[in-house]
Amino acid sequence: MKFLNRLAWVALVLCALGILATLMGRNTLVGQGELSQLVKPADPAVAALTGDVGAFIGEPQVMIITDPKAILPGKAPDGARLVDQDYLRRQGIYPLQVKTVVFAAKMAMYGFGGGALIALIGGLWTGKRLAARAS
Amino acid sequence: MHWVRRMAPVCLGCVVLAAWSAAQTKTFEVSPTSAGKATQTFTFSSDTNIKDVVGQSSQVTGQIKFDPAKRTGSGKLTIDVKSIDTGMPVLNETMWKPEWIDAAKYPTAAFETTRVKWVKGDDYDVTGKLSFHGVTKVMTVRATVKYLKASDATRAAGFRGDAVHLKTTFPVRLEDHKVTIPERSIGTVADVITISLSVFGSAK
Repeated sequence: MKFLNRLAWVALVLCALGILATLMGRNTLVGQGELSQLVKPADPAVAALTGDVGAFIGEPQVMIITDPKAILPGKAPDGARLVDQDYLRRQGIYPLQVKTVVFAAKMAMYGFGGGALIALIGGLWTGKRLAARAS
Repeated sequence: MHWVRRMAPVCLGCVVLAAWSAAQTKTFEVSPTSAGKATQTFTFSSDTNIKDVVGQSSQVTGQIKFDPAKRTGSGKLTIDVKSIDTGMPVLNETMWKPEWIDAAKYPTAAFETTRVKWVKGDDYDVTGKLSFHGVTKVMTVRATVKYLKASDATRAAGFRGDAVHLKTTFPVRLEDHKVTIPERSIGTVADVITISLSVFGSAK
């Protein structure tokens, strides 16, 4: 019983640390995100002809792209930075989306939160049993 | 005889006018190799709260008929669905499976115009039949069509003569085309995907 009680408190501490680490990691990654528009860049002669930097791929979204070589000059009409889709594919980079980070962090928080609750209940219950045995 | 003499110039005029009018409608070929240095770009985008999935392809083929003077035209564009690349091979394979878009049974998707109405500037309302996953639906989309008359700029871009640049973005409800989202993927794939096209036609 003593072992179980200790295990419960250790699990509670680990879950609390997990929540803290998840929050810190989430905030760090979210802070690196920027509204980005993926672009398939046009050949300079085609860009001069059409006035377009290239074809926009999908909608603008907040993405984490740390490689400065992937960023194209200029901005999209909505202010999003332009990201070279061809470069990302050549480099095998699949950009991390902030919404995915937020979702994963939320799931991790639920997991750690649930774990912490179970550990707390387990710790209190085993503690009560130990106290009852001692008396 | 007088009647024939009087009508002859009128008839000749009609023939000349008809020929001139027909000559204004130009036919542009759309294919991955016909666009010079330009690239045909088809994209789909599925946006959900968890992640956005984007696929793209340059394998767009077809024909655009366009009359820049009358601001009207017609056309049909087809895409090889197996050429759509999400950047993740596993996701591509999944997408082609029978429970999704069934690329083996329905290898192409196509849009064929039935009516083109000029709106303003280079903008047109294009009504047509979208055939995808074995289901054909009539829809109207807003498209931008820029006529690019042969010039040094078009030649520099690799076009042999006149060219046309068509751009459009429109939503497609998967359910309308009998594409059902498997239960395990609910929430990660949008019910309505956004299709975007940027294609170049080269005068024949």
